[in-house]
Amino acid sequence: MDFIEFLNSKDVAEYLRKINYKFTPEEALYVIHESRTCTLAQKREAYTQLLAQFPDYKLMERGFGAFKNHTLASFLDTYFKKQDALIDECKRAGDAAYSFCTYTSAEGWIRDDGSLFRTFGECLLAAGDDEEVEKIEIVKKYLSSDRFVSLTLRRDGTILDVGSSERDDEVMDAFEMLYVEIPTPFRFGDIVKPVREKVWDSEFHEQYEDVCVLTYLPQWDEKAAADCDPRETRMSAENYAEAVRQRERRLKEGDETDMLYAGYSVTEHGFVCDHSVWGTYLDLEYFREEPAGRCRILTAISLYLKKKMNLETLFAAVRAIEAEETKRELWECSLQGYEEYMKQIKIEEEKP
Amino acid sequence: MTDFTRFLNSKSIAEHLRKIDYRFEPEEAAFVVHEARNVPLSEKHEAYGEIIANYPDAVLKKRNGDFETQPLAEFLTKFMMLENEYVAECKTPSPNAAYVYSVYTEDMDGNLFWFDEDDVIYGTYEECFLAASGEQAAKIRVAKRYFGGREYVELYLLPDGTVLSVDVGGKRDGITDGFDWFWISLPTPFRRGDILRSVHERKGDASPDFVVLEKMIHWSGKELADNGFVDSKGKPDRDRKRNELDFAAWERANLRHKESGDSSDMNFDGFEIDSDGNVVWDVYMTYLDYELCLDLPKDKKALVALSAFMKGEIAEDLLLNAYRHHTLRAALAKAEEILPLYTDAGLETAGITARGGRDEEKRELKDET
Repeated sequence: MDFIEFLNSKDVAEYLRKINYKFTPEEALYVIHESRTCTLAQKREAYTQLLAQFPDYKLMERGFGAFKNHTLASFLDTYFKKQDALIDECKRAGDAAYSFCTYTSAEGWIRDDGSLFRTFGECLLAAGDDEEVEKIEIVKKYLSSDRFVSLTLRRDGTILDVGSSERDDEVMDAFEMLYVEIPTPFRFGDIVKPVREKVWDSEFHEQYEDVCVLTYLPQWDEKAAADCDPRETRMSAENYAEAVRQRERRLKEGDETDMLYAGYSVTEHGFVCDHSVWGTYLDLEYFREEPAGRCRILTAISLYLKKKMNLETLFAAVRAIEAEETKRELWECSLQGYEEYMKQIKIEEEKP
Repeated sequence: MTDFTRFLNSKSIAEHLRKIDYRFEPEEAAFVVHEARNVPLSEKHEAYGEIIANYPDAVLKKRNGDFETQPLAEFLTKFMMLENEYVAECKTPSPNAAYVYSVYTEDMDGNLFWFDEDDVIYGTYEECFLAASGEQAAKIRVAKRYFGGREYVELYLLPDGTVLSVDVGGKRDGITDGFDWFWISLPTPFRRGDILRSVHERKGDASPDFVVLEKMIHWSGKELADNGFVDSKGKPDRDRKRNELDFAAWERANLRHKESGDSSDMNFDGFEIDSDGNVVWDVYMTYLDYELCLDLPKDKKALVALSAFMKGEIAEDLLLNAYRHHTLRAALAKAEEILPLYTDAGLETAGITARGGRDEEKRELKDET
């Protein structure tokens, strides 16, 4: 088993297959854990395969005591037992109430409107009532406490994931303490977007603000990144040495918060923002949709960063996009129904 | 006799009714008392009691709701009894229900809004209220939610536990939602072109409405004439180049509302400025929850020009130039919102603030944003 199927990003998976990349056990551990589409049973099967493929060895201790005094086998054994205990706990009614969220591809995750249930079974039944529902999250909340246990399931009840409010648990939190540098196909100036599950009512956020022109990945060789950056002055020898030191530190002590990517994104109103997100660079995919609206500003920035467009044209492109978008918005908001008048004053409809 | 104007949520309407020494009809008084959001339930019940005592013969006619024609006194007595029962029900723990709370609290700009705090669920009213009262809140809502359905009983409270109002869901007693079927037309001080601001309680980040009034749904022929929609004979006033109005149709609709309109028909129409700076005409609910507005936020200032135009104080040239001016100012303010993301040094390097520690300029910029 090469564990590549557990990656959420098709582009990263395809690239790793192409270069025939082999995960280290820690990389495989992280990738299996982060998978959002595989069932818990499939993940367990993969962890078991991992044990079969690699001789057992002592894991390196990470921050907050993660993996301390554990070999790969002993860690996974403890992890499975804790997960099983949480599953039992979530299904067992007690001094608690249950609530749910549902997921459909069309609308993303939607929180139910405040209904509460006494048992796991009643909650699952109500949550799965709608045939469109693909996934369900059931949360068991203890009364007068911020403690909760949650299960994410398919509509047929197959468990996908287990969660809880437990913090400072060196086994359940251990994955957050991992830092892995896995190669990706992405280059400076590529337009990318993380594969994420939509959350209802965040349409704009999903559509635009997640899309970014990539300017940083932690595993990039700093010099290579600097070489293709049109702002040649950006990486001085001093900065380069510091970047190398930082990278050495990350490899030794880094955790999920160091696995960030950065780039430029564009807001609803067309402002360009420095965008950096941690923990998710492995979820990036190329943004293949036809860029629309103000998102086209990102295409212009990408062309500029890849040295295919000069600075003067970048300014002109951004102004042209802004003018077009303003006109389109006016047609959507104020001019519809007044086409006759617009014809008289020679204003043509801006088709979306 | 109780001064019913103190129950109104709109200070402008309350002041106007006091000024004209308005005498409420019993149905109007009952509706206004019910809608009050900041008066304790005990005082509302006292006021209902006074309506019952002073108007023993008042009749509540059947409307579109579940209740039949009945004495108003009978309706109000049942209503108070049910409210008291729901208060007791909410405060009594049940094995088939749990509690959550929301707080009416200030956002970063000092505006009040309702925030749902449902991460923690409680087994009793006391535990839930105790947790809620630990927060900085102007008001609290404690909701008792029944397991496995949509039934709930909610109490709106002051931080000291005084009950302000009761809301229930999923119950059909024919009485609790009775006031939803009322339609009342109280005089207001509002005139065409006035800038109004909603006093609705906000939920989440919804901003309050700022509207330039076109016309109220319950205006009479005289009020329409006074506001330039029709002349004294009920004909559209063409000289003033305003919207034409079919007066006969207007009168028919007004009659229909008196017979069978409900609280969702207590509307007015007007213009607002949306978040992109467009002027938008719309219909706004619950005219009783609007006040005259004297202080507009920056991105709504164009409404001042629209108001002046609708009152005949300025002509089209100044209206359009003022609109352009205000729209550009609002766009600049929006552009400046992004600046605090950058350091002072960065802003200086980019030429947005002057080089050399122009602290005052930076302060002004930060104040504005």
